[in-house]
Amino acid sequence: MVKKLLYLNGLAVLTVVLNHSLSWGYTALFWWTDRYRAVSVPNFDQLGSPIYYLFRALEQLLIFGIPAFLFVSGFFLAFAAGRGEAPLRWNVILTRVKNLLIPFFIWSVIILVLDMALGRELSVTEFILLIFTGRAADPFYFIPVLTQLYLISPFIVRFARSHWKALLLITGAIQAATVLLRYPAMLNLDIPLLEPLIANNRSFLFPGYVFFFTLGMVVGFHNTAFKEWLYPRRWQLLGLTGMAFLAGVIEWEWILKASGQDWIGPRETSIDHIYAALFLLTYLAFERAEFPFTRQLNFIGAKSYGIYLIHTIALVFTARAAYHFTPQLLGLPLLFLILLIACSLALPLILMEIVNRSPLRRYYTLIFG
Amino acid sequence: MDRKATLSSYIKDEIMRNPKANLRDDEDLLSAGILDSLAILQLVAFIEERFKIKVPDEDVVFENFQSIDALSRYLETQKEAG
Repeated sequence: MVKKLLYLNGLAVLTVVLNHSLSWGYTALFWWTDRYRAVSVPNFDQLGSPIYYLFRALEQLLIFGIPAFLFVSGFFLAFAAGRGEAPLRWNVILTRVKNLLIPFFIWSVIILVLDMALGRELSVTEFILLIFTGRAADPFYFIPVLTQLYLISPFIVRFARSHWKALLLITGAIQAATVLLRYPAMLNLDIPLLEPLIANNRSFLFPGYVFFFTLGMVVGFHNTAFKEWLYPRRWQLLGLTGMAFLAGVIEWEWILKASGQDWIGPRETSIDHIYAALFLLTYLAFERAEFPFTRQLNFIGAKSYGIYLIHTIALVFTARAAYHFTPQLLGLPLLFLILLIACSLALPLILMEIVNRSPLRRYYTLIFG
Repeated sequence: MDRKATLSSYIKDEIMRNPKANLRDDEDLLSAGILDSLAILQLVAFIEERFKIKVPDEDVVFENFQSIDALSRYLETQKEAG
């Protein structure tokens, strides 16, 4: 199980890259349509087309990326806590947080400065606020979430060791409640009573993800018991994961229709989280299986944080370059998607390799984690 | 190269990316921020390949990976058991 986690990390970062590439794919389908067709934008003619459903299916299939990262991080803390009853040491936590935050701050500043160079106007306060709330780039919310989870982990560890079922139930309930609070906004409903809770239900806060992290910690502490429980149930789990995938696709179409809106930006729903949890358990249940591309995914897995931090820069520049210089490419969604994925993987990997081969090598972990 | 030197060299070169780093054999690899979740997984893969042993999941624990000394002791027990 342990050795499969590097592969899982590689899969997770690929899903993140693909998911963010899909967001630009939707932009090309609906908001940049006028670059390759004589229409005014936004134009939702392609909503319900085969390419739209292909994008949606991919998006749904790959929604387990962030949950997988949180799972692996929780698992690491079980490792760091050790076998005995000793508490998790604060110096381990603080060092880990420091190693997480330094690259995050460096790349947040770089991204915002690039944004400003491209014309975005930001005051100093806005600049700082965007960094600290993980909004310098769309996927950056994950780092404040993980930091908060690391900081509360010393309080969770003893429950993960001795009362793990209760812990999973409680964190599962907290996460489910947080995700349910997203529904009124998605459905365009006005519920004044819930307004304060909805307004403060931000993606960079940990309650929306706490279950995946504690699941990793619990599995880390009770590794053998989980393996024995999961293995005989692997096919049932696979079936349930498939059902959750289909339910997620249907749910999103229902939400879109029920909201009365033309389009809703990607958001995670309760079924998405159920699917992600089932996916993780299924992955662990099949730990004896040989997975394809092990060497390549292990390689990417070991570089996942650097890829995570940098890929959005490549996406923005590739998408904008296509918009300005090769607009006909936007009308070929699959080709555009492949180009986005290739560039958003290549730029971070090339940058990491350059640093790795230069005198800056000793600062590699500060820059890329 | 002996076991400790091999481990030290790998950690300095591939994980710390600084072959000239000052790393003591008893240095706590977690507290020093040298090992994180991914580095541990890389280290397990390296040990299995380099020392031709299988590291079972139950052995991937802090006590065995705390320092180069601890890793070396663990490898010794594996060698004796094998």
